[in-house]
Amino acid sequence: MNFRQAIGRQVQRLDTGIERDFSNFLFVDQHYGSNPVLRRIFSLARKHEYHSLLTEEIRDADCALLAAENTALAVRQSDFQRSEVHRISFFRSTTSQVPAQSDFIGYVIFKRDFFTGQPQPRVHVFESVMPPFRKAVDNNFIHCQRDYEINTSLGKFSVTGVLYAQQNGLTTVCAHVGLRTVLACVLPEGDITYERMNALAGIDHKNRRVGSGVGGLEPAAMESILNGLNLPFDKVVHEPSQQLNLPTEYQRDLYGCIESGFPALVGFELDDPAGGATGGPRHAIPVFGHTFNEDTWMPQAQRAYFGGTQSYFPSENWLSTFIVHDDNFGPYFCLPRHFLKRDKFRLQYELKSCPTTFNAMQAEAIGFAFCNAIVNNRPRTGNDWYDRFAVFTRRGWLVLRTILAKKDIYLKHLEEMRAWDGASLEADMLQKFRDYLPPKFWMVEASVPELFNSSRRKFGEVLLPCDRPLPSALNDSMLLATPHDCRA
Amino acid sequence: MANINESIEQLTASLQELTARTYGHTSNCDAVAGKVPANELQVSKEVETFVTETRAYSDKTRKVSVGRY
Repeated sequence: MNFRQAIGRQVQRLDTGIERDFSNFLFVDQHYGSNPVLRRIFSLARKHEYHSLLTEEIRDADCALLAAENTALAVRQSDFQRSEVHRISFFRSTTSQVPAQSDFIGYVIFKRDFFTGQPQPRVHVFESVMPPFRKAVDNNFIHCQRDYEINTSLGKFSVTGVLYAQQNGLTTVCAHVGLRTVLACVLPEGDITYERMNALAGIDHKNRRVGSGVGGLEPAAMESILNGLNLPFDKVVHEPSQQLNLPTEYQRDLYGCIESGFPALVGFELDDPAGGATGGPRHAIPVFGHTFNEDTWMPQAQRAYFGGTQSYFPSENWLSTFIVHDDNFGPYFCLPRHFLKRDKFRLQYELKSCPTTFNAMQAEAIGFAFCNAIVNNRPRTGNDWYDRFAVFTRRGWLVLRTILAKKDIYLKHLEEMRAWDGASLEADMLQKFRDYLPPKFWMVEASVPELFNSSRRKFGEVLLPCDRPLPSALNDSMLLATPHDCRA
Repeated sequence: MANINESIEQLTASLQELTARTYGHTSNCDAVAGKVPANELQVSKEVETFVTETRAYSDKTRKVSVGRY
């Protein structure tokens, strides 16, 4: 029994509209110790126009997850006494209305842990699921949101979002909560317990501990968790102190992962003048989405004015920010592209749908090589869109976007695809794709700036196998779907 | 400025040349299907080197476990 399903005992039901002079600040100050993460979550609720909240108490006896958490705390700290947990649910309706599903916004679990001799409890947001405020129409893209059902004393409701969690600094650290978010995005059950994570990492809170006075999780422990769950992932490392200097830009890989619909965990080093040779302390955050700016100046300006040498524009150039949770600050923050520079970047785990023999950046380089090879072999066809493709390829003005595609989704895309004259892909051609495509493969879309950033149309796609050691084309007839036509 | 002007001029000139020579399109895939034989689709040496070197770095760091988070 988790906190979402546990029976809650109603503490209060409050109207929270601004017109009723309800203050988020005052409420959090008075009832929740001015907790900054809670303030952030209340702020998100305000953006979603919440007009009431429901506070319920969750007890150990009603929630096996809470009992397990407290047992782990008691092992870790012999002075642990007890905890108090509130589940706060946010509604668009007022208290005078019976809330419908459309009124439900999201929830947060706030936990206070009491210890002998400590006048104040240690507090943290155990978890929260709020919907992201901005959507795809606002150029915000989060492909790995999940649905969660919450069983409140006012009825059952559901919320779609990315699970957020905060460490308690004793049995969980930033890597735990970051990994929990990442795993919640991909595991069928949409969540994982810290008990299971710690069991996989070999943390028993006696012989191996984490948190206060000990430190965080080592990368090897994180990998034990991922491997223990049989989840394929790519690892990116930059450790200058070990003479391990990442030869590429980690954000390109990160973007490839996010665009393929998967989350990642990003670790970085903090500024610390006292850090010495071992460096400063480190922090990890989950990354699960991105924003996009159709009109960004950077791609062409970078190449023209600041020495860019690439033979094409990676679509990552149009990315504005990555969407992240930070357990120190709360859910759904935007991390500007290139704010977290390589000198501070240290570690990245990118989850993926299957093991691959090369990553998104390598697949993109191979995809471009094939575009070049096609054009070199056939510079002109007399077809205007193919010939434009050839010109843009040769002149270095292609935009390439690479994702790890799934056969069923790709086939649906082909079936729905229409040329500008309304023509669909020929049935026999579609059948070939049904017959020969593997379940997963790399898809490298080829476009140009004026198509990619407006209609999202493209010249076509290069499909590459993702499970073969040597780069080669998937078959001898590359798909080339032009804005006007369909070509294979 | 010279490089970017050159690049834009080359692209513009190529598109203008295209406009003068080509016209029309077809929605029939057979028109261009299989026109480039698979054995002629080879990645360049540069790409091969990029893939080899980046893969070698990944292999080298696979077992690395530095720091705590």
